[in-house]
Amino acid sequence: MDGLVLRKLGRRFGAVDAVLDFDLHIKPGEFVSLLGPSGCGKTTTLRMIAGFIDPTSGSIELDGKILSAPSGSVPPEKRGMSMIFQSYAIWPNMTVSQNVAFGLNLRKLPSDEVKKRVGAVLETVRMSHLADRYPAELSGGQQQRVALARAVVIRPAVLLLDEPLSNLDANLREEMRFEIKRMHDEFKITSVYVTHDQGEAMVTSDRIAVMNNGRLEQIDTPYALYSRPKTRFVASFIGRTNFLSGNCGNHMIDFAGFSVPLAMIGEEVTGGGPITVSIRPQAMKLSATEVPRDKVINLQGSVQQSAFLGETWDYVFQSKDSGLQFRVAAPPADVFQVGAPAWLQIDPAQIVPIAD
Amino acid sequence: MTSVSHPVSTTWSQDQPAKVRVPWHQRLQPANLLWLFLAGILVVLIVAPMWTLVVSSFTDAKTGGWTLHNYVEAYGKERHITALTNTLKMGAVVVVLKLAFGVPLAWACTRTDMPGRNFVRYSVFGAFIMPPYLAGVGWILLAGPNTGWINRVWHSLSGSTEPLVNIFSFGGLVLVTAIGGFFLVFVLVSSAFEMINSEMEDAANILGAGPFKTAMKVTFPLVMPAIIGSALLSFLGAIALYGVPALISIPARYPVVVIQLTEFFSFPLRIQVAAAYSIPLLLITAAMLGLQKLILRRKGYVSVSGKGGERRIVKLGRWRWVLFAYCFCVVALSVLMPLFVLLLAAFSDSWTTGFSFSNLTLSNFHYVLFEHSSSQKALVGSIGLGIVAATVAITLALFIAYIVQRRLIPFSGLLAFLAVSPYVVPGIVLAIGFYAAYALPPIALYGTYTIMALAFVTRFLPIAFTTSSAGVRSIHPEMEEAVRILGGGRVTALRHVVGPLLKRTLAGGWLLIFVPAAQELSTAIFLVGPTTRVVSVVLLDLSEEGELEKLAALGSLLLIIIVAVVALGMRYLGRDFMLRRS
Amino acid sequence: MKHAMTYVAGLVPAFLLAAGLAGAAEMTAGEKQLYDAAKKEGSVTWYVSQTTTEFADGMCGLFKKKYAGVECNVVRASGQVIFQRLVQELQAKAVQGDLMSTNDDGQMLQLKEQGALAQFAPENLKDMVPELRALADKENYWITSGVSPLVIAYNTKLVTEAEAPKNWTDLADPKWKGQVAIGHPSFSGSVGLWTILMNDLYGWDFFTKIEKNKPQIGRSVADGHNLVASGERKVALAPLPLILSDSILKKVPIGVIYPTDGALLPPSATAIMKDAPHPNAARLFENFLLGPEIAEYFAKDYRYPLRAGVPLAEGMRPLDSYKTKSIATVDGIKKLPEVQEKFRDTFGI
Repeated sequence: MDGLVLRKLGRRFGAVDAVLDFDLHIKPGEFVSLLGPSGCGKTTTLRMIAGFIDPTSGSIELDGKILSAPSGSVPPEKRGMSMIFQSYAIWPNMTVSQNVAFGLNLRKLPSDEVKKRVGAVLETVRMSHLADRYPAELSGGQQQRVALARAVVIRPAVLLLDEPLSNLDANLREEMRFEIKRMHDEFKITSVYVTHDQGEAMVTSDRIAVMNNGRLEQIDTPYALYSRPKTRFVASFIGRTNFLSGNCGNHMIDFAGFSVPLAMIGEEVTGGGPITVSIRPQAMKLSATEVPRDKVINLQGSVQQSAFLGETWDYVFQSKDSGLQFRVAAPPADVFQVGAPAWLQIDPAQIVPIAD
Repeated sequence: MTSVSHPVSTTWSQDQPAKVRVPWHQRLQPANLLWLFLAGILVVLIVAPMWTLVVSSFTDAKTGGWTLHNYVEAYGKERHITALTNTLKMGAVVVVLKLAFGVPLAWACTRTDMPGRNFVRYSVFGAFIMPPYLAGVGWILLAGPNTGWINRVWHSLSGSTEPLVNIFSFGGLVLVTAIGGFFLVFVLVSSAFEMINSEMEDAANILGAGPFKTAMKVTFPLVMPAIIGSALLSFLGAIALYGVPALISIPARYPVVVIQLTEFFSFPLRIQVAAAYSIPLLLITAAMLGLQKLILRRKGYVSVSGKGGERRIVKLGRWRWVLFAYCFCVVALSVLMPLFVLLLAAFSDSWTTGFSFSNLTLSNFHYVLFEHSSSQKALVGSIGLGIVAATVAITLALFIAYIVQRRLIPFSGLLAFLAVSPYVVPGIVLAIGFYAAYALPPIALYGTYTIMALAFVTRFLPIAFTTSSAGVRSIHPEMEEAVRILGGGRVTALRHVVGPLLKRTLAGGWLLIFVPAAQELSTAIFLVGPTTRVVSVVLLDLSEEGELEKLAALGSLLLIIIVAVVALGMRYLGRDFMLRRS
Repeated sequence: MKHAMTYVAGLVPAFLLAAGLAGAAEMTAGEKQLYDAAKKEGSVTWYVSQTTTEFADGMCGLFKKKYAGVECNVVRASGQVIFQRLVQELQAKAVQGDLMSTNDDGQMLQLKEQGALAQFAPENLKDMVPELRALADKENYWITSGVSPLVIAYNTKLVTEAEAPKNWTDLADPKWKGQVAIGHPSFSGSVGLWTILMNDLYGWDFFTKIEKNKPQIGRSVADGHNLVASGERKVALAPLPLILSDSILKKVPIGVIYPTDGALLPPSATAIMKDAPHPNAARLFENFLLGPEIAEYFAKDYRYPLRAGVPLAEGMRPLDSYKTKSIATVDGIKKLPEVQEKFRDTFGI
């Protein structure tokens, strides 16, 4: 199988499973993020891919060749990958161009070829003018660019990125996200990106693998992940959401105070019994009067809290019948006073049943 | 139950091959053999000699069978026991003296506005460069009961014929031992003082404690671990020192363990008894280490950690001159006075005549450089052994520290333990172990530079390891991982990244080893052969012949060479490299 | 004329060469043979406690001058230390010393019994002072390589001749409290013999009395001499040649007392090790020790020359002009450990 394949990958530290039964297939040229809170096992997974940690179960293979297995692993230096580290790990004893040339020299490339490639990649990351500087003379963002250049210049089979932006300030981080995306679009290197920042993952990735407690929760495109989360964890970790408990009948799901026909829900649901759904604040709309529309759920109630976030309003709406509370996002023009009566419209297609 | 399609269900994960293996040739990292090889070296350097020492202490010299007789012979005489208790007594008093010298000086130089702090620092550093036996000779010149300069001044001033001070006494022995070793207390305690953040002291001030109370209740307790640690090392250093007792304790008639050990090494040669007799030194050391751990744990000391942060300087007012006077006294006793008389003696025809222009001569230098049969070669030998020992120890220690810090082989903690363990083995005991293990056939390294270099490397491995270990720890592992993921092995990482980054640290450690190794006496005394004599041994022989002027000249030459090397190091590393803990 | 000059100029080196050849020609056949073999070995290592380093270096220098091409290494230490080293080497089966010179011939007997010595009768034995030759091993396992009588030294600046002790027991006089220096029988060979002699003459009581005077105890026998020379101590046990050469040549304020109860005459002995790494060079050296060059060198340094017919230095008294005593080799070995032990007990070191 082409690409990077993790099969039932697991790593146990003492009695703790840092990673367990992790399955993932990354296609050649694909950019996949491992996203999750700290301690979820994403860095351990990345370091297993790099070869710094051996798995205790399962295996890792690249283009059909096994790299890691509990019985032993190909050492990192023989994997043809490269990595961008959280600390950048730019060698302070070498200049920018020496740093970038290092991997090429290890591959015993002729020196004019090395020079050409180093020049080209420094051009790409806009660092040519600083080629002879030492790392101590560079800013954080510049060091990051050097790290990027050093990693891509060898044209690695896989590029691994370990929270590369976590040490940068907010503005620079924004800029570097797009830089990384741009580099990926240019070189089409299979990339695995570890981050706890969903914004970073969304901007850069083709697909995002959300991890929790050493397990893979869901892997999908950024849009699918947001709009159709499959687990409570994914739904709450990516953006904000409302969880609603209900009961699933043959044709309808009954919630407190209202019911939704199964057919109107975007996902296919089988079986019956208790069910939890996620409704994003953006899947609802507040209005001052009732606006009866087809295939839309209308609830009467009032605004309990309001906060203005700049790009949106964040309201808490309480239903009159059931007392249920919903967080609703509204455009800046939709102004409601706290305590004002209001109607809440829910788009049933955006009600997503989730596994608890 | 509602079932939602499982998020991670994939079709291909089921058809996993039954046996997943990476071919061995792809897994192979040649560097792994290197780590094992290094572990082997440690066995050769440390385990084998110490093991031989213990085994031979239970071995019958004639039959080769198991016996306790060596212990009976070693401890069957009251005199032998006395030497042991004397040693402990001496060690204890020396520790008190060293602390009395080292701690106030450290505090004064790091935390106060005392004048002349740099002068004191450099002078203390001089105490490090001056080997204890040279300080001892200096003090014999100063405080010999009848002709010592102090006593002669005293006689002419007071008209008395009784000596004012007598170096050949218990007091003289502990004084000379203490001045030769308080440097270590100074360095360790200084760096502890420098690590204390003033905020801790400020907190006490805010709560109403005055400067004195703050010092007693906050500052000193915080440096206590450093003080206890340096006290322990001082004790070990004192009981294992050979040169000073050889010069002083025989005339002072105060037998100590090291002198007793040389008796076992004289005819009839009783290595097994010597081994048995040196076991208590090892046990005492182990006990002291245990005690140190116990004290530190019970008190719940947190190690002084963190960045130095902002350190406030204590304003002493008028007391700054009092403190300076004290520091000056210590420095004068330990360095200035002995060094001065030593240099004067080196340029004198006869040291007893005192200073006069007619008494000045260069003949002593001419003699030791061109006439004396072995001193020229000994100078080369000492410096050479210093260089070899420092280089090998630092290189070896770097690799071991790397293995340990990166946990490259199982039980790497054991390697660390081995590497620091020679610290607690007195040099003379180490020499006996090496002699027993390697001097005799079938290895028969007796009288070669090899056995001395091996012993020196072992002796100074702990310093090298501590330095390298701190260095490696300071390097982010990602620095090396970046090398590896780009295709370089661990050795490449060590050569191109770790080594260069630690250049200064390692060079500092190198000097810290070179200086004592070029002067080492305790380890050398039983291992030198006729063609491998080192300066320290030649100096001791000269002292035996009473040739103190020539001794002073040769000693000065050794000092000059060492100072030159250190000065080169300082140019390269910055002035305070040794007073700073890396 | 010009031609004549050239001729003369050419003659000078030729003459020198002839002189050199004549020097070589003086060698006996046996000596020549040893020299050739020694040159192949290249060097000789001499363990010595008999003399000071400076003096031994001088002897080595003479040897190298006479036998160009054979290096001479001196390893000098006090008697017991040298012996200890040799014993260590024997045990290590790595003998490095070719020959050894000591003031304690008891050590030689012990080594002979261990089978560690080589038998050798140097040619020059025939020219030795017969009395000195008689002190050596009858089977030629060692030769007598010197005699340095142990006498009393006093500082002439601090002590008048009248005040000075007359015999050994005077050293125990309380007026020398804090002013006596002696060596240690466990470090110095000749002090070991002296301790035996004193014990034989006066019983151990002599040492308990001396102890009350708080003597300074050095390691080597030369220690005491240096202490008196420097004025650190007023009187000491010391070897005669050191006192004479220092007082006469270096004008050091030190004088000799020939004790009326007998100066100790420890014969210095030199032996070749059986496993000597350079056996021929060792033989050549031992023969050289008995040769005319060393005899002269000894005489110049106020030592008793070993060869008959070599005049004594001015200021030296012939050996038979004062009372001397010596300890039989066998007695020395038998009694040494006991007095060493007693000494340690009495003096606490």
